[in-house]
Amino acid sequence: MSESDGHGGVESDSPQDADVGAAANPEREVPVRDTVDQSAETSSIQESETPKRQDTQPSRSDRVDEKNREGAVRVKRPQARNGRTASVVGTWGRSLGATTVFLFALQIATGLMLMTVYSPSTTTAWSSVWYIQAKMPAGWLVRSLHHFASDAMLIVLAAHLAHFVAIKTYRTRHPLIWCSTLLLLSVTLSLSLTGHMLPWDQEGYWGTKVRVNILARTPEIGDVLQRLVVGGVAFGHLMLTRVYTLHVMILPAIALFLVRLRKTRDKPCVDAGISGNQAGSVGSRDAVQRLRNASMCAIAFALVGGVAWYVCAVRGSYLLDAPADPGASSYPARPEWHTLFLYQWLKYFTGAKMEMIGAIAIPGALAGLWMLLPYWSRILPERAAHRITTVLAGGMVLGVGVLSAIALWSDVDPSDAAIRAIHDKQSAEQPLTTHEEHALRTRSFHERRDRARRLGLRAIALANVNGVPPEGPLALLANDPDTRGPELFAANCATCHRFDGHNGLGNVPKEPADASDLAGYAGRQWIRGLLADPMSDRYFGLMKKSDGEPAHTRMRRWVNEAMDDAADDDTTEALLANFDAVAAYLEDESQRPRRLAHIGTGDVAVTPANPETPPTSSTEIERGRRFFMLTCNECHTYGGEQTGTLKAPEMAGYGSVDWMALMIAEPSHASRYRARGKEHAIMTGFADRLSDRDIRLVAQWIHDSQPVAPTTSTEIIE
Amino acid sequence: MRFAVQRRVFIRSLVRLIQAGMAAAVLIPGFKFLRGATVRQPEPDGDNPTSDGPAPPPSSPYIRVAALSSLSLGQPTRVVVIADRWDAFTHYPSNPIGSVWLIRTEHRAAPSEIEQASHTNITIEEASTEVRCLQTICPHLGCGIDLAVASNSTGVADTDRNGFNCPCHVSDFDGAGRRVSGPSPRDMDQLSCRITAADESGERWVEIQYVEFRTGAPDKRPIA
Repeated sequence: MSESDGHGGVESDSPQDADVGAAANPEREVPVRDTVDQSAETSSIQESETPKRQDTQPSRSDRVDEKNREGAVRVKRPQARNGRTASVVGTWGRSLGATTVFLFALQIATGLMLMTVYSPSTTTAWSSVWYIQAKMPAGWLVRSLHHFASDAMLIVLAAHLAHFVAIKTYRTRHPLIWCSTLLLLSVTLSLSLTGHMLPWDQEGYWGTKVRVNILARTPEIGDVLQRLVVGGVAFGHLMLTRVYTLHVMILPAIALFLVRLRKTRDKPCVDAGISGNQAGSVGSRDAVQRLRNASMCAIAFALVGGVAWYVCAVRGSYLLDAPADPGASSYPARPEWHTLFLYQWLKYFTGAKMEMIGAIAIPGALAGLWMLLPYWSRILPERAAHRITTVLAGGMVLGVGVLSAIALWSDVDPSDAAIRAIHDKQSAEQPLTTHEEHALRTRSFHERRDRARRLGLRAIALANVNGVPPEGPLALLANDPDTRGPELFAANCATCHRFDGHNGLGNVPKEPADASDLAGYAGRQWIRGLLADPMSDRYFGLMKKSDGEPAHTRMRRWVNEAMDDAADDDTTEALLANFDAVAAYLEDESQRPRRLAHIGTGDVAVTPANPETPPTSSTEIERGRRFFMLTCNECHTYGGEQTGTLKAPEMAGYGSVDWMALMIAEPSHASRYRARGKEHAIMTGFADRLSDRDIRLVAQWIHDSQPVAPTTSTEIIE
Repeated sequence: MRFAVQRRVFIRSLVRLIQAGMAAAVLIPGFKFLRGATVRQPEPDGDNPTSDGPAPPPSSPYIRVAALSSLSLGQPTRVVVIADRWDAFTHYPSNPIGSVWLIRTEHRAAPSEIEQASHTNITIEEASTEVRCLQTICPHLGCGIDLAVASNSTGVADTDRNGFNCPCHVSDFDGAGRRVSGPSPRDMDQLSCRITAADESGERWVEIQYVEFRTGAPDKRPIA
């Protein structure tokens, strides 16, 4: 304090002193009556209004003297080389502190509102955040303001510190001013990181998992720290309540204390703008500074509000990922923008020891260096200290920028053409370069991320329709056929079956399929394709009985006979039209089981197809039903009854979820593929492997894969 | 006089002692409180483990995770481990506690195994079947390890090329879970795993002991 005092108000001939005065002026209480753009360097109003404090701090006495001499003393203006920049940096720079406090106040206000809705437990956290975003009036606004104000506060605080470096506040003012601002930055960062986890979504969950594991590597105390944060060994309720306590109570309390500490140590004019409760006369220049402060706060508010509005209202984002799923593999976690540089930085340190150096030792050393800046900078000569500090700060800003840019750059999705070229190279069995391998990895990162995002949107869409069940938001996805169906199919069915050539999730299993492809199962196209060629690989072609003989040959025989019986082109055409009709009927049967059960064997007259009627019309469907009862019912039972003696699977409700559920659970059931008195169906039963719920989920998903759009018969036959 | 001074010192110390006692009375249980309740371990199911893999911690039971027939040869399959779970005050009777990769392999049966097979009721094919079980938790920083899938131009992925890969910090592992490159300090964690004898429907089941290990260290230490 002593060094900083005694310069500002007096004329000095020594260039160095003048330099100090010029640089220190913006942040110091220097009485100036200057007609030029010097208002920021004028005295702080609080200074004169708090004589009590001055009394207790003798070191300020000469400033009081200066105050008394106001008007008589003319301060040397900043050196020409600082000139206008210094004054702009000085005046507007001072508003950064006020803006920080404003943004913090904004977060306290919005945070209190959020606290009235948010519910910290693993089953309710996601749900309550979803509720805030989707259902609460102005909920999206409150939450997104809270969200983006935290980002803005980090930026403003960083700028505030940079401003301190530029005007050498660390050297000229009380060390605690600098230290508390630096600490405030780390508290704000912690607030952001803890807040990031509270929605208990995938992004927050996996990001926190990584951070806690880094924390656990702290030598000696890592385990205890981890236990204290996690509240046990596994992430769960207690972790959420702890992080919540940190986020809403402990960290804000520390932040408030730090803000208060700054004010008591040195009353910067910057806070005048928002505290605004100073009694007494306010000089016009202070009023101008207050206006600046207020303008900057307003600009920050407008920017935060604008981003919040754009992201939530225009783009429709919920700022919410899929509910946290501890069992999920492959969530491609990336840190938030403000820690992206650290993520990139850690890539250069491999091995446990090196990682400790990269994650803890070097950042710790840098933090210590910056924290002690007010002390060591005072030992060094002024110029040297300033130079070192500027270079260090510039280097860090540059480093953070470059590392973040590299991190972003390395995640840029490679072009499809590039990927195709790499695949060509792979199929030619040429070795790939590191760059090409990276491109493949990046592509799969994007695929995973897209999948994760779709899951998030799906969970929100489901919640929007049905709300969240009491067992928690994970149940939304666990009971969703579109989500669980493909997963269950891949895990259970894809060893034999395929779905449009893949395993349901887009991967092709190594082992070849040995059963039908179930995409569009029991839909019109599927049935029609089966009637065209039952032994195609898509249907029964790959299936073998236990003795290795092809299965389902009777169906082929029947189709061949029917085709052979059609003597001429006209009868063939009529038969094909009947095939179209029966396919349309069976699709209808799979969607509305037994709707046409009243059309029995008696109504056998199958009228000729009318080429004018679309194949999905009700007359065609009814024609299909008649054809079924006349022809197919000979082997395939309907409601347990048939006209012939050969036994083929039951067709009442064929392809419906109920039908498939029994088929999956018990393929050898009398009404399924044990129809001809065989011992067992080829397919294994899943009754004891999958829960009823899972069986119905996969059945529902397969059922939903029937194409919705009507198609003409030519398309089906091709 | 002297007595008075001693008395004052004594009283002051007594006050300190009382204060310290009260502080300790809050802080000691406070710290214990904050360390949190230990997670209740499920009871062992009493089965006799008979399989390969590292010796399991005595408390973790074998959990049935998949039917052997649902695993394709050489194709890693991720299964979710469903078990009894406590999360502080909530008891989930059957809940996902994590997931594992299962890789079914077959090796040429050694004569001793054929010999052994002839004594028991299992076929040689059964004796030569092995399942390897790998944790999905990356030993580096705990992200979920996925198959290293390189999708091709048709949008259909080809899984047999690259083994495993962690999407967070790009650790690569080969098809057997051995570390290839990247920051992971050790191979993927292998879990002890066994295949049951065929049940009445002829199905054999894969059972594993689910354990999570500390991340970030070259040695594999279970999380207590």
